[in-house]
Amino acid sequence: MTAVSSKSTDPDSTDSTDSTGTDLQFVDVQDTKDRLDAGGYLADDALATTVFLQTRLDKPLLIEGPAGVGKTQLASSLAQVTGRRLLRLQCYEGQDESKALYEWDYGKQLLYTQILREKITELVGDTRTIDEAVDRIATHDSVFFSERFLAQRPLLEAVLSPDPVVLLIDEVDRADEALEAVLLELLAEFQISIPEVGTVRAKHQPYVILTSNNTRDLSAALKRRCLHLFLDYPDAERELDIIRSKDTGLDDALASQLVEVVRGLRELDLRKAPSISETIDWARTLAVLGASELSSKVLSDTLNIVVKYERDVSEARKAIPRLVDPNATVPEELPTHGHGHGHGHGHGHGDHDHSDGDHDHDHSAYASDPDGSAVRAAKDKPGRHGKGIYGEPGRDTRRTARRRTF
Amino acid sequence: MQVDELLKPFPIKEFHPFPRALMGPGAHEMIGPEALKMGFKKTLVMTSGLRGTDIVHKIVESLKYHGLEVVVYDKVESNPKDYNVMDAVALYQENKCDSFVSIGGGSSHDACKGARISVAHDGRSVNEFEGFNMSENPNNPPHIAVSTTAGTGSETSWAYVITDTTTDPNNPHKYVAFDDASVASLAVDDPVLYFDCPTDYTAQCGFDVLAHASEPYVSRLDFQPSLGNALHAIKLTEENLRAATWNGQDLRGREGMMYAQYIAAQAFNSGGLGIIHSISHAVSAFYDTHHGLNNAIALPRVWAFNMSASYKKFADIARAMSIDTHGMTDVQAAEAALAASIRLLRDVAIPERFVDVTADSYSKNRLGTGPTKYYEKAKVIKGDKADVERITNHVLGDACTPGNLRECTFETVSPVVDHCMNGELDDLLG
Repeated sequence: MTAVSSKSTDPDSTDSTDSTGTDLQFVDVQDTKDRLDAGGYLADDALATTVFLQTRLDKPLLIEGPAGVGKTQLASSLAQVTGRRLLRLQCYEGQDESKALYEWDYGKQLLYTQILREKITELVGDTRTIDEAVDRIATHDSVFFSERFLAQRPLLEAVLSPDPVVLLIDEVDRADEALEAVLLELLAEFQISIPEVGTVRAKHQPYVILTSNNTRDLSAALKRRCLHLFLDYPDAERELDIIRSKDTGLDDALASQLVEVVRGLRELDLRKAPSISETIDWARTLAVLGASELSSKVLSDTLNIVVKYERDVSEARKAIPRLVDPNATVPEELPTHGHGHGHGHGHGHGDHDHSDGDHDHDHSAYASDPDGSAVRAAKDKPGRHGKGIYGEPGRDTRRTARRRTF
Repeated sequence: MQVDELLKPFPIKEFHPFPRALMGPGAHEMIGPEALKMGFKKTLVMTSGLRGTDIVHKIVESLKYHGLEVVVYDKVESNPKDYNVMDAVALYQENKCDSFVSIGGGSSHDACKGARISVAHDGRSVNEFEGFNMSENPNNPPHIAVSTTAGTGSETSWAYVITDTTTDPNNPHKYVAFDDASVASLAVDDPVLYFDCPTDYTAQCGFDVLAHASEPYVSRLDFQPSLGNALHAIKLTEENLRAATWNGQDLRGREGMMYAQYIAAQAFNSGGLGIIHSISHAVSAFYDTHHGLNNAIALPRVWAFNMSASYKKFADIARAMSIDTHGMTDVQAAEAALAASIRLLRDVAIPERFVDVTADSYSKNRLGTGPTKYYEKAKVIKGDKADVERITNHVLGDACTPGNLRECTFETVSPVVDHCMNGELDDLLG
């Protein structure tokens, strides 16, 4: 284990060069930003600064923020632009350390035992008792608990890797606290202690990125060991840049309008706000549909691309006409909506005045809605409020009436 | 215990709650302290404006004096429209208000009740809550309802009436929503606030009271706990409406009508209504005429229509109207009640047919600035065959219709509607 037991000082294996000798370490913040940009990840100043610091301070970076703002993507882009390999540990509930660090490869151990049976027989051939045989074998068991039989999981792999890597510990908030504790040693010392083998220290310090959606609070111990970055939805301009960079095929003016609509949707009280990646999907969808303008209808029809809960869909659908044009007088009732009443309302307060007791809204848009008339017509039906309510006779009264002759 | 289904002619009756109420001259001065007690911090005042009076101004100033922040929505129209409600909801949400105060007649209270329900459901359209107890969230913001007309009873009832203009704008629909969650947190009835209510408006509101009282008395619900209130409200109206109408500053008359409207509303709250209200809703939906006026015109016709189903009940109404029924049969007493209602209607100078209602004789916006665009658009009430037909259809779908004493079909109701439009009241008198 000597090869990995201490950090290498070999000048050929420093993090800053690749096999061709190109310097891959970021020079400064601007360089970080430019190279991430070139790699297709549009970073703002705060993000670029943090990433630059991370590479210089050799500290893990914990990124928190809502789903879909590009936390995971950052790790993959960082790997790409620094020429490092990306190792990823996807965390989940119930995950134990054997899935994150390493486990002993029992199958391989057994196989070797089988193959070496003759050798083992030879080894214990001159012993007379079982105790003596076991003792003899025990002197050799370190053979079976050596690096050879160690199945590496992402964390150990990152430490043992002969090349520099980026280690992504994704959605760490989903892992149990026990695993979080296991991570502490790695994050602080970039080393892992394996009882049978000893402490394994990283040959090249990995760039470690942890992501969290904040489904639970992470421990102070974990946070203390990391640089911290809160990654929120980008501002409109950067989001538009991101969409442009993805070649969605959507016209630039429409993309800009779409970004505003998405930002409006994020302000609603939705269970899950639309992410950047969903905005990109939406832009692609609209481009495929050949949308030439962003009407309430086309947005509502494709709303399921960005909004994933039924309650959110109806919320968003109500809000869309206002988001498309804040001053519009538009039918908020959409033909496909099941309930049939005029939902929401386009009459924004202050846009016009009801002070004379009149209202001058353009209702022509409603008039063409056949659903409205049908819904309205259904309200003229006797008994529509159902039996057994508010004096409506129960179902048996007619029979009663017939039986009684008076 | 198993109850024989055949013995249950009507469903189990429901008693609906009333809010706490402060009543009597000077009660409105308690609005500020009560609001503080209820934890109001920033309140949305909903009103039709009550132009020409300084009621709104005074109450708003009083609220501010007590340290409350106040946002005012004063554009509630007569027969409150869904857009009034939603505009107020938007204003409430924009300003992050935490409570409501409604000042006015039924329109202000009803719009406010709708807005409360909508606010409690994240601003969903008020039209989604038409029907019986359709709201799912009882955590409504607190609401103080201050009555300025002696008629509505909305400040104490579980009903609110909204005009749906969006579903089919060419064919508006005025509906009642009955919802226990809409009941105000506190009702304030102060006869002093009625002093400025104009003559014809007072008269029409008085007939709203008479409708609120007489309908539950004869309703198919036959809700016994309501009957006493109903008869006493009829008695109070008969005794006080003329004085309140012709002498607005008459405290006795105003106070009498205040109690009349309050207990009449409590009578119909659990006791049900009938087609006086259904006809009134239908006519308002299409012509935007005043609810009390519509009730006044429909009342004698509907009484005449229902009478044959129970002369006895109408004889009780006759006695409540201070008619000496000794020596009369129930039929005669009922006829006398009808005659008394027509006399009252003529005494307080209400138009006798819908076709007689014109923008001039129609005072609903006396406190505002003129007829609404809806009324302007409809111009005069036509009362032709097609008109009668669409109004009758609206009546049949109305939530009040099932409670009516006599069963209603198109064939039985359309002559009543036709008579409301064109018939002479004298024809009803035997």
